[in-house]
Amino acid sequence: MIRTFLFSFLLMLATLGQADTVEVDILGMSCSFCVEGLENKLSELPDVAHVDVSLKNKVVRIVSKEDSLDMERVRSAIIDAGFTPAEVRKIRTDEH
Amino acid sequence: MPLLSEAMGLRSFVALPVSRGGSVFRLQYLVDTGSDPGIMFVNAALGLTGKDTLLFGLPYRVSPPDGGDRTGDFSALYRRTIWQDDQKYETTRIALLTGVVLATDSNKDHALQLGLVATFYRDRNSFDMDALYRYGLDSRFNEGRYDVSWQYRLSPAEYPEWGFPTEWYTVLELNGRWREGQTIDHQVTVGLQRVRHNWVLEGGIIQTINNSHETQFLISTRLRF
Repeated sequence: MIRTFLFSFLLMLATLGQADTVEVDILGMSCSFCVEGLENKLSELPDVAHVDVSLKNKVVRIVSKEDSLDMERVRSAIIDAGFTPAEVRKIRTDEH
Repeated sequence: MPLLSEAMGLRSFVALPVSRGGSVFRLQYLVDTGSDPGIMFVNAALGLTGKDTLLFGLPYRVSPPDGGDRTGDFSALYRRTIWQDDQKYETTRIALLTGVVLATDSNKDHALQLGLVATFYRDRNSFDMDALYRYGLDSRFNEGRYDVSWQYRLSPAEYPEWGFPTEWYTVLELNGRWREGQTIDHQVTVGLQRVRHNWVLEGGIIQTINNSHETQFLISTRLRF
């Protein structure tokens, strides 16, 4: 029982402060002037630390702060910016 | 707003993309080869939702030839995207326009506006087409306009993997301006745009190809907030 408790405690410590990096395919992207609104919308989200945009591959890469990303909010932000979110890929989970 | 993709013709402001809660401002100066010092246009676009945008415009004549008011009529338009087909490397969008023109001179009447705008973007090419009709109330004359714009990205030939490079576009447009009681002016506009993230600097030459055969020059800047 002590070993189970210790494992659970260590697992909990291991998942604390983990940041997610996800890539989202964006449909409808064109020039940088148009996409600047997308970068702003995603950067405003409270759990987002950093946003990179690839006009070449029509992808945004989003790095979360300490907690996992709220993908529903990410999806809404992309739609609010005027684009259509498509496939989502989790790139990595980093520990702080 | 679904921004109508790139949607940045030189003459028209109705195809411009704006995100929800975002705004775009444009200051444009138009002058001909005569003695008239020209007209300035101030435009603003406010994004309400992903599909809804408010568009405002106000012309300002630098030196009215008849000594009249410098400030022209105020235009307000509501744009609603009614069809949107976003693909990874191309997009097509169609939106309806409706609004009013408010005369700033008490001796003039107002007008209602109705129009349509469509945008198609693929690879390095973007096409915008719009048509707008103004129905004059009371004694005000009716007006209409159309714009067909092709923007081609000169540079970069290929985008970098990440980030926003400075972009250069050539612009070629066919424009029409009509006022009740007159024949329509058809115009060709050629220009250049420099796009740097949230700032655009652009200029062009407008040649009326019928009627007056007038030549005009245009310079404008846009900022996104």
